[in-house]
Amino acid sequence: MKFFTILFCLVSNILFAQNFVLPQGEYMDTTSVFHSDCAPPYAIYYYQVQAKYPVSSPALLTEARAFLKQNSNSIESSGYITFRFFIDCKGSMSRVQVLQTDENYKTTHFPKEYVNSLYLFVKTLDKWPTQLQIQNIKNINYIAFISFKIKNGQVDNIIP
Amino acid sequence: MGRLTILFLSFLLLKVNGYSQSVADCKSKVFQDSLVQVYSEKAWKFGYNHPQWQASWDSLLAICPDIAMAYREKAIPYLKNGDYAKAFQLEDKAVELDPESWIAYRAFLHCIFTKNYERALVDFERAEKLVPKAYIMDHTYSFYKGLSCLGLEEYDKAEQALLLDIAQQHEKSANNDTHFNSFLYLGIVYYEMKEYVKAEKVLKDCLRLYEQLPEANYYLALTFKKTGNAMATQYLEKAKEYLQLGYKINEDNEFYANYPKQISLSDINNK
Repeated sequence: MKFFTILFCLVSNILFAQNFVLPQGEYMDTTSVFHSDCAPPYAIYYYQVQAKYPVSSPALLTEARAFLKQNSNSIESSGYITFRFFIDCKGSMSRVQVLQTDENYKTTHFPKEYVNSLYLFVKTLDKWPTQLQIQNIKNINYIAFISFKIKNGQVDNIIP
Repeated sequence: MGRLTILFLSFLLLKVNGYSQSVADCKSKVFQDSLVQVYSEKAWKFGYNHPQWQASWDSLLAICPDIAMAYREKAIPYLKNGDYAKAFQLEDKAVELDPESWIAYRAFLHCIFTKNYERALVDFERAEKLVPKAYIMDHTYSFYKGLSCLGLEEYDKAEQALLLDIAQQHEKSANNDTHFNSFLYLGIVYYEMKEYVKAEKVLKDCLRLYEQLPEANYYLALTFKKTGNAMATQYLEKAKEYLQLGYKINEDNEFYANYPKQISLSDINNK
């Protein structure tokens, strides 16, 4: 199943890869997709509903490195590449913003191909907590992010 | 006569308005503290993800632009939402204005939020000189230096830092309990150093204080696996059981960021 997800992501990325610069920032995907059963897209953050991705940073790091070995060219830069997105109540990811800094947290741009490879990896993450509730709002969507700490072209750590 | 009276009263009012505005004494600590109190209350009415959060602190900065805490508060939503460029621009400003108050906090952010262990160590060194033997987020500076060295796989330095951390906790009273996370990380460091006897002892010390801590059970299981102790399976099961029951590393900021070596069920299932 994971193989087909990756294959689909690869094909769809070649065909449909987006990189939009809007006044609010740079996006990989500007579409917002919320299942009809979900609550409206309020600005609820993952930490308000204990929705950190439920795989440890070291385990994710191992997965990311294995994925990149097959799907990316090597680079030499250092810094942070962050993908921030909505997860709807069914676990679907959309409206993906990308933020990039160097190791001193100054805005920069990594090679686009490399960013796309990390984005493909982020899209394979399919264990996001779903059907959450906050106060009296059921089936909420929430905003989450995944940051890749890059050191000399290697993914060195994954945040959160 | 009537017109003259109105004119006279108008001058009187103009004088009162013109001279009634107080001058902001931004150098006064008392004035700064009162401003922070007023604008903090305004900001917290909305919470840090609301646009009025930034507006409240900006209003304070319009009066006194050198209050470091306002920059630190403005940074909070950016930091927690992964916008490091904006967050650290503000954190840096806070440190520039008042390093004694904010450098240890920035060091903590480097260590826990962005896993920038090199920068964390640099900031903690400076913090130690500015305010020796202080604490940040419930722990000594040495605790975070230990975590940073562990992250950099510099285990000897990590051991030294965590031993210092434990010693500092007992400086005021020998009877103080050591923080269970100090034992946890020292145990993990010994495990990484292949010092399994020491790892077992320290992780058991940790479990005496927090029996349900999944990471302590997990690393004790790994230690037992290395030494051929049959108890390994039992501790791995305990780690799994406690994780499933919702136990985890007991730190305030764990909601936002994983702590170093923090585990999940997939780590246990893969063993």
